[in-house]
Amino acid sequence: MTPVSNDADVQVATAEEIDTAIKRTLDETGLSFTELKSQAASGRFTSDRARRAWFVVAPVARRG
Amino acid sequence: MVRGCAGGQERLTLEAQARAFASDISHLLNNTVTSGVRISAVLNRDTGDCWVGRNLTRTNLAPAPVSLSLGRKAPRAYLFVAHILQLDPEGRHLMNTQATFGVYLDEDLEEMAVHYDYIRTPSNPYPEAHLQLSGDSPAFTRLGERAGLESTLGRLHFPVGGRRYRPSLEDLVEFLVVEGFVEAHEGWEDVVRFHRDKFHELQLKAAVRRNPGAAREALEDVDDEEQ
Repeated sequence: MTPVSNDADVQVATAEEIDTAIKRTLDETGLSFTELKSQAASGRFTSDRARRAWFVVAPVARRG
Repeated sequence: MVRGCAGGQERLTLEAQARAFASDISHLLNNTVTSGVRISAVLNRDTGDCWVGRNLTRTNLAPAPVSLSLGRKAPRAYLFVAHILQLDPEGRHLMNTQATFGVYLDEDLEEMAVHYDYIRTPSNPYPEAHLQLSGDSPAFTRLGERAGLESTLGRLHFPVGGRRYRPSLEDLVEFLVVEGFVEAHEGWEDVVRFHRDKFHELQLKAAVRRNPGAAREALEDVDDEEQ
C-alpha cells in the first residue's frame, strides 16, 4: 500500500468563496441563515444535518 | 501541535498553524483507527477564521465523513470531525473555538450514535462542551414528564468537563477501540497517549494562566514535599 502523508492541505479562501460555501451549506440544509442562527441560539436543531451545518456557518454568524 | 491552540510557536504563519493542527489530526487517526485519511483546512486570512475537516475546499466547508476502517476493509462506522479555529485576542495564534466529533453508522451521516460538541462561546444555555446520545432512556423520559418536559435522551446535553477539561478526539478514539467497535493499528495506545498528553499540557498551561494563584499554591506544595 502506498503510504499517505499526514501533511495537511491548507487552502486560503476569499470572503466571496466563504460566502459561496455558506450558501451551499444552507441550500443543502434547507434553512436560511436566520433560521439556522435561531436554532443555534436555542440549542435545539431540527436535524443533525442542521447541527453540522452550524459548524460551517458559526464563525461568520458570530461576526454578523 | 495540539488541539486546544494551533500557536505553539509565535513565528508560525496562520497557514502553518492551520497545517500543523490538521496534520496532527491525520497523524492521530491514521495511526489508530483509519488508513490514508487526510484532514485539510481552509483559511480566511483576513478574519483568521479557519475550518478543519476532511475534504474541505474553498467553496465547500462541510467535512466529509471518515471511514473507521484499516486498509481496504469495509468500515463498521464513520467519524465526523470538524474544528473551527479563530484568532486569539492578540491576533497572533489560531485557537480552537469550536469542535464536533460524531460517530455514525452510515456514510451519509443519517444514523448518528453519539456526538460531542465544543463551542467556546455558546449562544445558548447548554454546556460549552457536551455529549449527546442517540436512543431512548425510559428513566429520563419519565423524569421529563414529571417536569412537564419532553426530555428524550437525544435532546439532552450532558456536560463533559467544560472549556478546560473537555474530552479530546483521542478519548473518542480510545472509546471506540476499547469497547471493541473498531479495529486499531498496532501501537495505537502510544499514539493516543502522545497526542492526548500534548493536548492536556496545553490545557494545563491555559488553566495556570487563568488561575496563577492556585498554580503557585500547588507548586509551593510540591516544593514543600521535596524539602
